[in-house]
Amino acid sequence: MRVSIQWLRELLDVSWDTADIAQRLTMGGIEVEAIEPAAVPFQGVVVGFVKSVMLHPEADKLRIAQVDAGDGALRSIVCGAANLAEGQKVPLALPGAVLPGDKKINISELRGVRSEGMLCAAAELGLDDGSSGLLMLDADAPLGQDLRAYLQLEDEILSLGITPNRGDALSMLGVARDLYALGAEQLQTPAVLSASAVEWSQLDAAQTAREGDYSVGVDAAARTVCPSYTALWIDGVPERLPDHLRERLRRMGQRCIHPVVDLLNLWMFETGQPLHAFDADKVHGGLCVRWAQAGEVLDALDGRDLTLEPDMLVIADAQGPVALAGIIGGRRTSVTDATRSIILEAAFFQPKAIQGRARRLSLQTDAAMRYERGVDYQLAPRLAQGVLAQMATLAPVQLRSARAFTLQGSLPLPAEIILRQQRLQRVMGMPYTASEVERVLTRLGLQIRAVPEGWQVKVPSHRFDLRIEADLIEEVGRIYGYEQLPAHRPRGILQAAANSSTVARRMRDILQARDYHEVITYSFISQEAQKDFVPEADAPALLNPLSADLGVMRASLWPGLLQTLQFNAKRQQERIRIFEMGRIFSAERQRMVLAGCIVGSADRENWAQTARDVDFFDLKGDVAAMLALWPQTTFEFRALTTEVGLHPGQTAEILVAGRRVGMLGALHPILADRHDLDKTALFFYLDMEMLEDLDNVRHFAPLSPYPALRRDMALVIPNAIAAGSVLAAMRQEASAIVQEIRIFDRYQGEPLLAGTYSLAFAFLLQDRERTLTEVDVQQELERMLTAVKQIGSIELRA
Amino acid sequence: MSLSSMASVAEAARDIAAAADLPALEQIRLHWLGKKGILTQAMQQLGQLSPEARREAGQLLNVRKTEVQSLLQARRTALENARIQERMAGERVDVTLPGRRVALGSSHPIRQTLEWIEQYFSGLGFEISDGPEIEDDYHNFEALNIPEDHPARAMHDTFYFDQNRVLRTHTSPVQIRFLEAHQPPLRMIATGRVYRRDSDITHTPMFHQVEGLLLDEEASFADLRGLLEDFLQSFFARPDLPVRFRPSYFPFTEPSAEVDVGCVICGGSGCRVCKQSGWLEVLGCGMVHPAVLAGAGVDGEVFGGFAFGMGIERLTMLRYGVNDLRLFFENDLRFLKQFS
Repeated sequence: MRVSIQWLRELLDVSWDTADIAQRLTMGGIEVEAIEPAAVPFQGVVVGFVKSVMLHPEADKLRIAQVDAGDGALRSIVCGAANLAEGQKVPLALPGAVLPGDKKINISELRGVRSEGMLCAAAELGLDDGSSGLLMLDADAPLGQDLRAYLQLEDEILSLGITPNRGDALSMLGVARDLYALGAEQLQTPAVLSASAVEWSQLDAAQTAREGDYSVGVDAAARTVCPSYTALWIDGVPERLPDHLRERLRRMGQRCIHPVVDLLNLWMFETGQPLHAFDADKVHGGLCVRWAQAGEVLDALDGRDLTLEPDMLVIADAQGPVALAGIIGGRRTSVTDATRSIILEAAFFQPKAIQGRARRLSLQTDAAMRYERGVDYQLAPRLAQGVLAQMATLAPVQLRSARAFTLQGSLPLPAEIILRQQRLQRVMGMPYTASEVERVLTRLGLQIRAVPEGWQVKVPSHRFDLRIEADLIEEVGRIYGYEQLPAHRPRGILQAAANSSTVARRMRDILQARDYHEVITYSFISQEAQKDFVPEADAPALLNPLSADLGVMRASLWPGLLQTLQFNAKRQQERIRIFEMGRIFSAERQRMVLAGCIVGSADRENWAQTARDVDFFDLKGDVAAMLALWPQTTFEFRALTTEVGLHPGQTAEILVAGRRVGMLGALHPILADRHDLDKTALFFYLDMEMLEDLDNVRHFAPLSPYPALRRDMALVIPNAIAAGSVLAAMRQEASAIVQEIRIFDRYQGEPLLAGTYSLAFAFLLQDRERTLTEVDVQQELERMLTAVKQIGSIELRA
Repeated sequence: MSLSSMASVAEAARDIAAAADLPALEQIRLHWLGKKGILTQAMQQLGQLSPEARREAGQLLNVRKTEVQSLLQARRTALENARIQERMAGERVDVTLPGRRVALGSSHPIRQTLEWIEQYFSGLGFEISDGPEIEDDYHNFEALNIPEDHPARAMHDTFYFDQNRVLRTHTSPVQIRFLEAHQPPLRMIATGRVYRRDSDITHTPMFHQVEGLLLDEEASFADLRGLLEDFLQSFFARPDLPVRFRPSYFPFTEPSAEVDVGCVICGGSGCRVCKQSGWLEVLGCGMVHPAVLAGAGVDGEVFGGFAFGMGIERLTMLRYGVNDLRLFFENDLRFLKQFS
């Protein structure tokens, strides 16, 4: 919403300057997003009169105008504009003039003809209003007057951000009202609302002449949502909008369309009440407000054919819809240069009958924006009168007929709200005196009556948003000024927050300490990327994605990580270690997981270590470090050979009591190729929700005062038996004296038989009650060896 | 006992001083103090003297012996020191070479802001809560006083899955879910991803918010102002940071305010970031709307309170001077490494 300060001052006596006005509006709840001058600087341009026009002897497209600048001399101006004609008043840039863009105008020769200045188009003056050719001025524009003075260009425009609740502020009047409440001197009534040339009842009675071919009706089913509809059949239309109104329209950011439409737009900007005009000669058999029939089509003014739905309100004539009520008119009955009579519509539509429809049809119109938020439900008939009277000052117009429909019972009731002084103080946390409250409410145009607990407040018809006490509390607060609010601190019962879930944080810390960088990728990915890892994903797909690349919710964090890997690899990053904590989605669930991946050398390249690329066990070590947060839980790593996207020989699932809590593995070489990765990338994920359910409370074990012993044992094992199985067998058999079993060597090759490998185990043994003897140790080792031998042909290495 | 053996102590001192290493020193010790050492033998010969002479010579011998012992000890220490010095000379390292495994990862700047905020409010007794990202229409809109077709819905360009399910457009639905599970008085903070169908230089379709809710018997707008003022001044580590409340509108709060801070980039004098206004809008807040309370079954006459919400990307950009929103989700390591 744009506001011309000049126009505003017509509606409001106020001593504040523009900066002050802007500041007060912003701090009163109408945010001023920008202040800009109404016109960019230029100088030396005056109102000129084209006395005569003749052809240029040397150029087909140029003509020579004799222009009077009001100083007695006729100037010869060469001009290429197609709309140049004798008898026009146009802007003339005199020699020495400076136009926008620092363009200097001098006496010059154009194709051998001397030109003493330049005739200007609107765009050349920075006044682009969508017109082409020379800017045509009113015939009575004072000859020779400086154009800036004539058009009163020394004005400023505020751009306002109006919140959706403040439909009332979508007008000059509404903004003026707020400023008045905020302390401006005096509110003025707009001319279009003050002229009450004809009382409504008289208008009503005057429509007799052509009863038969003109009727206006509101269908019974639509009456509750259109309780007020006024239609005036007016003969005669203004031919041209006067310059100052054209200029006003431009400042509102609105292009000139047609004098009638332009005028109605101006009055809408001024009052907030949308108005519409039909070409009366194109309306067949009168107008009816009714619900649309499914599939009905409106040829809308924006050039599209809109297919309507039964919850959309239309204005229709005998041939079908001529307008989508409160949103947009139709082309068939639109006013054109040929229009001689109009039917003026001023109506109130309930917001509920308008809301959402424009958006559904991908429309955004000034009318819809206002009706959706609520316009003054008392205004339509009154404004219709004013429009007629004001049009009469611009052109010889005559009211041929008038129809007004008002269903009082269906108009919104003026809200009556009790505002309790004590409640006001409690909610705001500061006291207000009764007189302060009364001043604010009265200035807002609310009718108040003192009652014991505070005030009974009657809300005027233009404030749709005030319905409950809290709304009034806000009004008092904002008009009185939020800057008056003291800064207190909340009081309450001291209670520690039950914020126990620190596991996630500790896991992130572990990864960070191990040189992983946290990333955040989008929760939606492409279907193709999803299929790289989860071909059977049933994750929800968006109905309206931004693009297909962001079309489905991710069922795994890996596609996003892989993309990030590729992104960074392309930027010469050779060692990448990243992780993400976020949700993955399936048809039924939204699970928080932690996932990561690594690629490149195991350590940052340095002088002290030999470079080596990461492998499965680097990643497994990182994962195991996190799993160490659950010391009482046994995590089983079991090989997976058919996991999509992962290397069949380097993938494991992580199980707790048989349930999968995570997975890790190397990226499948085919996938790596497709993503231009030439080194092994390894991925993991852990299911946070399952992990957080595990008990990670620690229990103290008493320290043994007796010495610990170490014994080593090397075994020769068939390749088919995994180290984990051997270890598991040992652990199962081990008694409490076995404190730790480590694998400290793995060997394959001569002199071992083919198909076997050797593992060297170290056992740490200690008893809490006594010093272990060699016999104890031997028995323990024997038992474990026996147990191990039962799972296959495993032998002690000689 | 001959005086010559006494005089020989001077010789011992000479030998000791000349000892080149510990084995040589040991030889000298044996020579003088060993079982057959000169002084040991002299002691053994004392018995042959008269008691009087024995006492005198004994005392003298003891003095000599102590003297030799202490010379030996001093020399031993000196030789040991020399040996250690020699060893250390070979052990010198170039301390300017980098250490091993200096690498430290990073947590995402967005995460750092989230954690800072969570910690701040945790300290004030706010419980950290959470809600689903695929949210139903009721929690995302209806329960927050944003009915179907309400113009306020246009403020949220929503991603839909079907008629009833959306990607949450804000973290405010967590308020509703929390109210469904808790009775006032309560304090809650929720952080997380939110989504709006918007993508340009200042919008990403996914971003992060923090939502706060406090309900109590006595909780006022002035309390909210004081709380947020302290929060923002702490967050930006500027105790004198100007904070202003500006009336605004959210369907689920009434009265509502947008909160501005004095521009942390230019200090309020006007710059590109604050669009020359000197102020930066950083969060929205207000007193919980009676309709929201009623919908959650809370008696608005007894309990009231406030809610606030803020965009994390913006706060993070301001905090670290990041000038392009999209950097957060590109995950360029060169960017992330700056936040180690």
